[in-house]
Amino acid sequence: MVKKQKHTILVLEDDRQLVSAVREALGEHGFEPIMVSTVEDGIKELEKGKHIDVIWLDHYLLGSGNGLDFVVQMKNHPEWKNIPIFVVSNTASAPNIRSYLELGISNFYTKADHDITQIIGDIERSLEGKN
Amino acid sequence: MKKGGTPRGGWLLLFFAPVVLLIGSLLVAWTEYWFPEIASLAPWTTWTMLVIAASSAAVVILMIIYTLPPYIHFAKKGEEAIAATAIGNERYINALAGSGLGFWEYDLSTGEAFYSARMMATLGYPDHDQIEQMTFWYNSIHPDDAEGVKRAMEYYLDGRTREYAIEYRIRRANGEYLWIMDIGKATRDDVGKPQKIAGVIEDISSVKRVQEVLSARTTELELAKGKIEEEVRNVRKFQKAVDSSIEAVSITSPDGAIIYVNPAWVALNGYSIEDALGRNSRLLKSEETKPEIFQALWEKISAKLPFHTEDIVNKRKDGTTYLAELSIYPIAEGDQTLFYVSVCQDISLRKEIDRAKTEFVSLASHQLRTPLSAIRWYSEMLLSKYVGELNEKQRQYVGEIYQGNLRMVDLVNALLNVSRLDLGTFAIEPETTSPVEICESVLSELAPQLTEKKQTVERVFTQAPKTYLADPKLIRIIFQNLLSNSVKYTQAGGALLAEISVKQNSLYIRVTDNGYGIPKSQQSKIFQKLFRADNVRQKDTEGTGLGMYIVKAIIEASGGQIAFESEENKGTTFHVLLPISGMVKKEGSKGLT
Repeated sequence: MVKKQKHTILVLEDDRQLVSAVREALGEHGFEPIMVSTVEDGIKELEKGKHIDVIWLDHYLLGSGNGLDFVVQMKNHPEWKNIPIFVVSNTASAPNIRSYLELGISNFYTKADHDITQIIGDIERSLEGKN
Repeated sequence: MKKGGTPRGGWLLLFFAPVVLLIGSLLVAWTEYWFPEIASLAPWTTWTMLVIAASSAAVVILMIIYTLPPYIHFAKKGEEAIAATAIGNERYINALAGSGLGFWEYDLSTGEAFYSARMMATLGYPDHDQIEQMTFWYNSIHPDDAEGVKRAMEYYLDGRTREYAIEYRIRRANGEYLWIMDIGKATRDDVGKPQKIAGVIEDISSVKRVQEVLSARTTELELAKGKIEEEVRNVRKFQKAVDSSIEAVSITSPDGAIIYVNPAWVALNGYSIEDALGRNSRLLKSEETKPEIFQALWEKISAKLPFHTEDIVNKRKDGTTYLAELSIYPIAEGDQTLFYVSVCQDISLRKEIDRAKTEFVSLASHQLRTPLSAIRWYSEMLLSKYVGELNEKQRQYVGEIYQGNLRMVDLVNALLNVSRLDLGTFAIEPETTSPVEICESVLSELAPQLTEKKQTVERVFTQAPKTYLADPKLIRIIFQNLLSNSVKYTQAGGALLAEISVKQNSLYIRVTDNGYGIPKSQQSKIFQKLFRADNVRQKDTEGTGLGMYIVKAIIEASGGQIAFESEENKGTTFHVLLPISGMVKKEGSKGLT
């Protein structure tokens, strides 16, 4: 893993326990995670201009706005719209999931139904494919 | 006839006439002898003799004249009496013969008995008078009656009873028994000792038969009366029960006219009894009820089957509506429906509570997912050696935490599915699927268990349609539950079979095993929420008891049917039919997982 170039992943997740788990796991898999818990902070991170390879997005977040709002903003931004987004949420409803897929996210996962390595594995594969 | 003595003077004549004649003769002889000896009297001899003879004759004639007329009169009376008796006897005989009465007479001193021809004929013997012993009569009496007849006769002869009259059975010549009425009267001597007894018998068999029929009819009528009274009591009891029921009960005639409503019905709907009677039960109909409910209702009750729904909305007199649970029972006799009994309840509140409860389960389950995700991911990370190698025990324990967590995730997902099905919020998103592929994918997931239990799976997919329009998640849930149940509830080395084909213009899915089976007594419950059969609960502690409930709800929501047959320790087969046209899209806030 060390030999690979580190991918930067922006993680929007609000649950303290899960933030920690995601950060650890992504780090272990050679990612450079940036952890935020609100849509606002996520946008701020993007605006900093640092290269972001991929987004890990929860639906419900702290602050105002949810994952959908974030995706809409990204897709409307010429520089961000091609960054792959993986929505990882326990609580999104069927219409929301449909909206995510229609907006062109890469995949949707229900957290409790998946091992974290499964999700990270999928992200890695999609990035490899892209490269 | 008045009894008269013999006339007076008869004895006088018989005794004194010879005496007078003898005295006259002696005097004539004496005159003849003595008068000639006395010369002076000689010429008077003849005259004296003549006078004596004439006197005795005169005396005798006088006596005769005095005595004879009463005797002539007496003789005449005698003749009349004889004639009258003869006429009388004839009358009696005619009367006896005409009446059909048989006459008998017993001489108590000799034991001899006289039986009239009519009586003999009645008893089936040759039609003429008969002299017999009394024992002939007594021996002919029916053994059951003989003692009674004997006693009646004795009591009468002893003077303890005033009359002899008794009904009994007597044997005819051909051995049959005849009911007769026997009435007799005794002739007694001066001290009251009976000498003879005579009487008549009458054949009362037909009377007896009528009596028996009447008695049987009377008994029948009394029984019927008792039954009717009991029925009336029952009807009153039921009427009271129905009247005091807290459920609204109404009865309608086959054309829908209301013929009865109970007080609860009046209270629920706001119509008085007078308002309701005679009106069509449609008066409660509300626009809010889906038309297919009424269609299903008519289909059921016109097939004389009970109908039950929890989805009907009724309208009260004041225009307000309520959600009702309604059961309609057609009451039929033969082919004819007599009336419909409807039992109805306002379930608005219950439904609201149900909904709140289900929403709570949904919310709680969602909230459970986040901590479950944390447990899953952290235990997974421990096992992934990120933070160093675990020793064997540690790895085993964390492995158990991870597995326990997976079970909890399954349970939460099942609860969410149930709440979505119950709330009707689940979505159906049909797309072109391959049922065989989905089935194979489920089987490959089950491969570890199948291998561990050395179970075989026969696949019957040759008639399977290539594609089917369905929500793949729902088809997956169906296969997942049916197949994992078969694996779980079949002994090691058992055989499973999965079939996908087209039958009855439907997609047909069959899953069969030769496993533990479902006990007969519990087969009706297997689609109930949280039900697990006794025999499998003892063998396997896992399982939520929600799977079959979910499967059935999905199949029914897709317009399909599910059925099964099962025998304990022989195995179970599930049959699923889904419309060949596929599932119909249904918007919903949640998909099933």
